[in-house]
Amino acid sequence: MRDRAWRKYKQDIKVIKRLSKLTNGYWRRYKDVNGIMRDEPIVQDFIGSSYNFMYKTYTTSSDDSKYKSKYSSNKKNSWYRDGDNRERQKVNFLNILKEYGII
Amino acid sequence: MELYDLILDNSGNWFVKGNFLMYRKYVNIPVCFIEDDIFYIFLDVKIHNQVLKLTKKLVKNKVEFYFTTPEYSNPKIEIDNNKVVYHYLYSYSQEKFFYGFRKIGFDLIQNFVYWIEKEKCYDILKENYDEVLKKIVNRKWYDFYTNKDVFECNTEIRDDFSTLFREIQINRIL
Repeated sequence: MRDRAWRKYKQDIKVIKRLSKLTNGYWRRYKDVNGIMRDEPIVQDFIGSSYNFMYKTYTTSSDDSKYKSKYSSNKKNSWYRDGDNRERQKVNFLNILKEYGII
Repeated sequence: MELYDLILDNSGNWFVKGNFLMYRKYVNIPVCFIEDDIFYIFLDVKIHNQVLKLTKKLVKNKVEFYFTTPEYSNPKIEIDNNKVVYHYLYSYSQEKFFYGFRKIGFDLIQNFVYWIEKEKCYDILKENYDEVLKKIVNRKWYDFYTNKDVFECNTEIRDDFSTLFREIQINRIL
């Protein structure tokens, strides 16, 4: 089930992927959050940095995930919801019930 | 008491690997190790919550422990007391540790003084203190829009640091 733990797991994978991509082309010295200068930074050195927090977001420039809503829109009123969501399913279900004369 | 006893919860994030107690946050980060029956915790801002929880547990169990710099998780690097002194003071200037240790009721400076007494390295304290005070705590930049100096550390930490050296001396005498 795609619960909170699953979302966290997927987010971690994404962040590690992005951070490792950053370290591959990183040739400068880097001062990590503990104030220690690293000659050849690895993924571990970027944890807690601004890069880490920036890469946590799901938003990308690619078309498939650009307009995805990041947080649950059940928390507040949103103008747009993507995909086949719970509210839409409820309306469809009520329409079917009306059609068969149940309500 | 062993490293296995320090595992805080049943989640798979905590485990012991070799001589280190590790915590998984994206990658495996070393948290603690034992040397001569003394516990050493890495003062790592990356996992500050875990460090604070571990400290709380060690205080509760009345075990002798000190802190050290995360650089020494790498066995290649030789231990230099100068770096440890610098890192103690640097960590004390960080908001997460400054307020975090205050919240759990732990005196980091007292622990620092005990460590200095153990290693007998009081003579290198002053130069490191001056360096942290100048480069980290009193670091500022000029804001042209408001015509004011903006400090990176907040006022409370700067005030505390201004009397820190005297506090260490008093702690040492007591």
